[in-house]
Amino acid sequence: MLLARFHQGVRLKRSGEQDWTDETYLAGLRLALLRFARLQLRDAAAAEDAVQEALMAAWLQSGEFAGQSAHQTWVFGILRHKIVDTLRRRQRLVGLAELGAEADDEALDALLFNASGHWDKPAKPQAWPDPQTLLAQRQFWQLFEACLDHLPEQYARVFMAREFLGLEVAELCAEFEVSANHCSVLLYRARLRLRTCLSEKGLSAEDDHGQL
Amino acid sequence: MANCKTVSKLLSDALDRPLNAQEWLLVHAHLPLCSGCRNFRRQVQTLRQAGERLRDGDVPTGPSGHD
Repeated sequence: MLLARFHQGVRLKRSGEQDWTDETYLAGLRLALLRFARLQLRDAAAAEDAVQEALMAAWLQSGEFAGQSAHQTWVFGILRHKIVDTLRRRQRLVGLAELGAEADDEALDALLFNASGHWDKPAKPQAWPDPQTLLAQRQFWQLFEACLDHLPEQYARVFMAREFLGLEVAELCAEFEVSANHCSVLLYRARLRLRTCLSEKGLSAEDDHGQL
Repeated sequence: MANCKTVSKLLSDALDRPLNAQEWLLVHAHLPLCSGCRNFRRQVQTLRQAGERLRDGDVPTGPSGHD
């Protein structure tokens, strides 16, 4: 009898379903999901919908998980699919290419590179702190979000589809209906801008031993 | 000698597809001579890692506002 209860307890503890009764965990999970969805959809209502749908789908399918971290990864996986669906329903990227980011790109290149295409001395990339340290700092994520917000729309979308949703490039180009070559340029422009923005906002290895 | 503009583009491409032999040589002849491009490479790799963490919800959270 006792043993049966014990086993039941263990089973409950290890099952994904138990997570649905842990309100602290759920509230935290919901916030994390919302933040992820908002970043990519840039629309609070659409993000709310995607999270709601993902949580509902997760709840309906809830299975067994070895702990909350595995459960969380799984729910994020469902949300990623919901976000891809939402992006699919949206207008194609092509229409967004006319927003004039190209002129900015030339200005940025003129700032970063000299006439022979080498890093201009003041703009030469300096070392960032070690990634393990950096990614554990909440301040990094705030800067990261702020810099994402500054990206032109089409760059942000392609970058996030690649790096956050984990789409393969072929998939991503097809999704946005752009050539592989153009796709790689968009990703490069996004990465170049993000690293430049983060560096300007003060990421540097000089502060490696303290806060950012 | 490849310039940094070309090399940084290839370093970004390398995150999305394997470089061909010619591209690879170009990049690896340049990197030992250029700290700017070496740092650029680490930075885009860090962005990749940030994406992976975000994808799994593995991002430090906490009550916002005590910064």
